[in-house]
Amino acid sequence: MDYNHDVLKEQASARIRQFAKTALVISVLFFIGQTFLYLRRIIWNLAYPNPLPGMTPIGYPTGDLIVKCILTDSTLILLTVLFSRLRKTGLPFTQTNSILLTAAGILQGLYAVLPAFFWLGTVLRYNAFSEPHIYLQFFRPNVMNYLSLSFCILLLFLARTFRYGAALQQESDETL
Amino acid sequence: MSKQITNKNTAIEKLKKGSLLTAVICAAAALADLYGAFCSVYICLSDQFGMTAGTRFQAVEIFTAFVIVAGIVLTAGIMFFRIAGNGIPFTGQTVRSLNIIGILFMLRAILPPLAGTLISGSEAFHIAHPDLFSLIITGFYTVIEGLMFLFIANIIHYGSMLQLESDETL
Repeated sequence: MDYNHDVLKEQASARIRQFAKTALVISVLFFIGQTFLYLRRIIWNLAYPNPLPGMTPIGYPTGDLIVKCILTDSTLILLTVLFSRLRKTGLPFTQTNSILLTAAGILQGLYAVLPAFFWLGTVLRYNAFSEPHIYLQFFRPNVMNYLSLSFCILLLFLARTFRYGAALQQESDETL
Repeated sequence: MSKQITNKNTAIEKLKKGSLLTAVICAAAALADLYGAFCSVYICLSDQFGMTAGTRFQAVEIFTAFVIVAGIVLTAGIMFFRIAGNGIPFTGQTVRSLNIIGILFMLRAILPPLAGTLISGSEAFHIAHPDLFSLIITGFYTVIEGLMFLFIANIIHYGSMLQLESDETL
């Protein structure tokens, strides 16, 4: 029974290593692609702050783009580190992995919420504070990024699960 | 050893609270998706919107997408409710739920345009999606999300073996 248990654990660990290898490649590609796209838009905004007639403006203010670029790249770097650790060891439940997931979750939460606050700040500069409908627009899907908010919740939940798993892993190692 | 038990109990309590909140959010999201599906059916069947082949295709696509996403968040909500009950995420049922969510994400990439094509025809597909490249990219992202959930399911499966070992030791 114990032998079977160890064999099954080894097989699960090997499967995790295989998945982690694919995830690592995908996250590196995403990192390169996202950085290139953001930098292209930021450089365009800086080069053409007042678009000429006939030219399409990029749309987002430069500060907003820089913050989004930093948050996206930081999240992807943390996930790349996590996947490379999983690829090496095949053991997901460690305190370090839990911390990496917590940090990535917090960054995704900031990505969801910070641009909405920037938008609110820009709008409040030109509108009176006494117009309550402006605050409700904060929650519109094109202002608040609900996809990033869902990723934030998922990553934070996984971080807690990994912390519990780390306690079980430690127990298992000490029993052995 | 007692510090380990305290750590485990603390982790279980935190998981229970977090799971309950997430389950409530999932339930609300499922209701919102079902409402969206109902609205797309109403728009499709109603005479007042002047439906063309392309817009009918899009309405069917949106309806299928909403139904699949409602299935995803409902499965997730049931999983989180179960975890909120006992605070233990590493069970076979959790692994099965995550596998179902992963497969539903992959179906989300394929079924909506397929359903639209079956009901409205291939001409309507070209009207609704003149830019095939962006449809493929969106589908690719959705498949990646599905694979991510299958990856998480494998990790939880490993955790369920640790949990079984821990329960047998106790």
